[in-house]
Amino acid sequence: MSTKSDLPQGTLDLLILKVLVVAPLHGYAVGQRLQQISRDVVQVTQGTLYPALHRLEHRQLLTAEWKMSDTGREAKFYRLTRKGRLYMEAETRNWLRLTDAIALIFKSAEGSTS
Amino acid sequence: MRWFRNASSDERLDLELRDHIERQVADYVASGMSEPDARRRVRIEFGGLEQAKEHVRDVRPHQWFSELVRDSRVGFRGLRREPLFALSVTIILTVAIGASVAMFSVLHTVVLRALPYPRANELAMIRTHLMLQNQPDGTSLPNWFDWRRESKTFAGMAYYLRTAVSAVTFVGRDAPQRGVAGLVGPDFFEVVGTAPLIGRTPSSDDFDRRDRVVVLSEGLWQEQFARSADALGQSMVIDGEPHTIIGVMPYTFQIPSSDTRLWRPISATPFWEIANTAKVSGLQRDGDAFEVIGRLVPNRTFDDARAEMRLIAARLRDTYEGNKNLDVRVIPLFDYVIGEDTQRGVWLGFAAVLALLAIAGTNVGGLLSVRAMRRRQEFAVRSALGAGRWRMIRQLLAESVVLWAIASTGGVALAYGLMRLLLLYGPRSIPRLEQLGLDAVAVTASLFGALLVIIVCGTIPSLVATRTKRAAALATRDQSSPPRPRLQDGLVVAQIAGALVLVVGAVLFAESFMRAQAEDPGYAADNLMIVRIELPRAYRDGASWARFFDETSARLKTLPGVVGIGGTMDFFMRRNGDQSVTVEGRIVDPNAPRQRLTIEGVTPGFFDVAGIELVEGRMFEERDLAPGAAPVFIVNELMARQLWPGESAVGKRMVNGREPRKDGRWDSVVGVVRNVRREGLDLQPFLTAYNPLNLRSYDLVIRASTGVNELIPSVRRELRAIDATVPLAQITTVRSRLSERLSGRRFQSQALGLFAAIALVLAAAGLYALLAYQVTMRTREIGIRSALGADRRSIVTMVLRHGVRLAVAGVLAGIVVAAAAARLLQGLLYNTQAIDVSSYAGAAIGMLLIAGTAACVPAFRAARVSPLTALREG
Repeated sequence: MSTKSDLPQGTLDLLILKVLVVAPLHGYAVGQRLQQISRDVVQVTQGTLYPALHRLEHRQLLTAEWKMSDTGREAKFYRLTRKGRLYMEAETRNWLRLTDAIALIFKSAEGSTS
Repeated sequence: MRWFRNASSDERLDLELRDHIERQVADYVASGMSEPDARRRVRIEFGGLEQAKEHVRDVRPHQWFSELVRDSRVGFRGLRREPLFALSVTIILTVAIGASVAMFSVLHTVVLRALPYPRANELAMIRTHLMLQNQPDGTSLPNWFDWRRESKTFAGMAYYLRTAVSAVTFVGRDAPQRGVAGLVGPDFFEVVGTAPLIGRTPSSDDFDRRDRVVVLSEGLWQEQFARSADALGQSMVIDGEPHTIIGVMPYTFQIPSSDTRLWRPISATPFWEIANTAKVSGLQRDGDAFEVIGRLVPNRTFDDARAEMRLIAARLRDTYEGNKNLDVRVIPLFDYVIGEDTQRGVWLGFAAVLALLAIAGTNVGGLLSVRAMRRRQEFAVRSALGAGRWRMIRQLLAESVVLWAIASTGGVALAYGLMRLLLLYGPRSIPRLEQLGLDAVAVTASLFGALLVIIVCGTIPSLVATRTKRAAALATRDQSSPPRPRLQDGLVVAQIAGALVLVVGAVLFAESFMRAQAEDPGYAADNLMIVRIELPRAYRDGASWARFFDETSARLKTLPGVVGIGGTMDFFMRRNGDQSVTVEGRIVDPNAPRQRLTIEGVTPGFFDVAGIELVEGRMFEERDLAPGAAPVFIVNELMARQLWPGESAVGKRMVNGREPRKDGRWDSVVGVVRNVRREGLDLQPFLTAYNPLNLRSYDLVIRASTGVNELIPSVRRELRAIDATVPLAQITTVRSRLSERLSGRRFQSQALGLFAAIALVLAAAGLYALLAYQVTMRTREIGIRSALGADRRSIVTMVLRHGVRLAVAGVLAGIVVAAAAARLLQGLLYNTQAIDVSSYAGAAIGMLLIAGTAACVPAFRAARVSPLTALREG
């Protein structure tokens, strides 16, 4: 029911957008890619993945279309919109700045204890 | 349309998630698992499909509408499963909404809407006030003139005539008619500011030239000219004089009164000789009959005007002897027209309806929460299946909204019916009530109010009831340990308290009405008919008036059933009562408070016909009317006691007016009659002196042996036959007039009584439902108790005690609220104390009895619980 990934709030959205930069994917593939790239650290259940996808679609950061897929069934492919790309770039910068800052704090804290 | 798209998007969501599952299965199979194993594993990992869908749906806010539709359908189905519950809730809400819509419409029509004049909130009546008597009086023209000259807060001030607003005879294009006319001073129409429908209003030139012009009311224009513009410039005869029609005022223009049919400039009458401002300062300054209306300078308040007028009045008091007793009151036109008692009465009715709505809402809230308790299991199951809390709240809301929607439809229909009834049978004494209709503001406001009440009262208790540990609710059938129903207890106490307040109010108003109704009019009011007679100009002198009366009397007496005919100037005493007498040998103190006093001209036979008993002395006789007869008076008991306390009034002498006659002659009092209440049974009799007179404008009083109403057509026929030029407007019976006068009180007591009865039923039903539910919930416990030897009586006592405790708490709370509200009621009650022990005690005892009865049913049902079945079922 709840996410097992223990991702900080809001990061799942960013990761999804990041995965979709390369190519449009369907939901299952997004989950697989996240797991794959993160070397199984990030595991997302359907209970969080699909709400996130639909939320991003609703915010027009993603757009989706139904296409014939490799299985011979129609699948819903998500693609990054222009707005989504801009959002992702901005958020990535924010994220990096934040992690740098956190790393800095950790480092200086270590420095003071040693 | 949208709903369809969303439905298909639901299907698409399903497809998307199934695709995901298939891919996962395929991946597991590819990694070597058997297909059934793969499927099982995926299903475990995936969790509930429905649950995942629910989560996704929750992030799609744009679908609230289809969700609402879906929730409503679910809600509707849920309600259909319990038709009895749905029916009772719907009925309760329908009645409450219907009553509130109707009452809010009354409030809106009568009290909330501004008067239909341009910038009506700047208009005020400026009235003379007699300081010693503490009562309003008419204004004299010199005072009006000084007020207008000195006031800076009023942009305009105009006068019109109040007493001349009585009947005038005018001849239109066919039969003679009577109607109320306004006699208006310069600038009257300009001050009020309403534009005429067609034509114009009198100009200052009209006043200067003393032109005989007339402005018609829309009603008269419609009747006489079928709304044709040709009316302008036509001539009509008013009191024997031709007048030119110059304009028509719309229906909404209702000054001096709503039944005013035409307006004439005062310059066209002999009044102008004195009203012309050039001569005005020499006139008597007190005791005149004009009304003054003013318009404030923009942005000045009534308080500014009051302060200023008080100073002006004080200055005039210092300057003029005649102003010694005169003060000024500035009354917003709205309060003057609508009357503060009426406003208070309507607000009171509205408050009562709000209380009823709150009781109904609380009652429904109780029912809903009891139902929710019963459905705890259902909710627990759904919650376990993934329904979020918000989702369940939505569901509860949806059910409330469905109930509200059904009840609103019924309620508006009911309100429409109630309003039709009000229009037909409602009190005539409430101004503007005749304009009552369903209007959008009232309907919208009431429906939103009702929705709010339902959501607050209906949903919150249910939420509390469903806030339960899922596991606990699922684990057992959960009948043995319902959450302590404090909330429901509170709701029932509130209902009983509210109902008690309404019952106390209803008892007080009923008592007040019955006391007024039971007042002795002082004469035989049954089978008495009154015909207003207004003899045309052709009847020139007293002799011709007497001839008309004698012939009428003779002809009417031939009608079967007619036993007596009399005449009096004004049977219903609509006049001011501002006359005075001077008593022989008594020094008149000009500063002494003047009593309300009326001198009434009557025909000699009047007392016998009306049934007014003689206390002392003799009645008038025909010889008192003979030429040269000594003038005589008959006074009523009140006046006799006031003027000659401890002595007999008979043989005493006095004259009409404030000083003795120049020639030193006095008129004798020959008799004393009983006090009568003719204006209305709830109005105190006042000092009255009668003198015998030949009358020109008067009320013909006809005494019938039985069935006075059936006589009306033949009386009308006979009068037409005597002289067709005499207009016949009002033919009425004394009883109907008296009851019309009390119609406001009757309406108040009936409306409140109805509300109170509904509230009582609701409160009793609420208590019953709660106890019945608690008994059901405690069946097992009761079973165990009786198995362990508790006898029936102790079980009955146990349930009853709880019910009585709630009822007593409610009654006590209700008494406190009622007593606090009583101050607001006092002014509306006749001869009844608003804090009246017997009314309160009666209401409280009645309430407790009804509550006790309501509690008995579940109590005895509890006692019949068989330990065996209870335990087996548990």
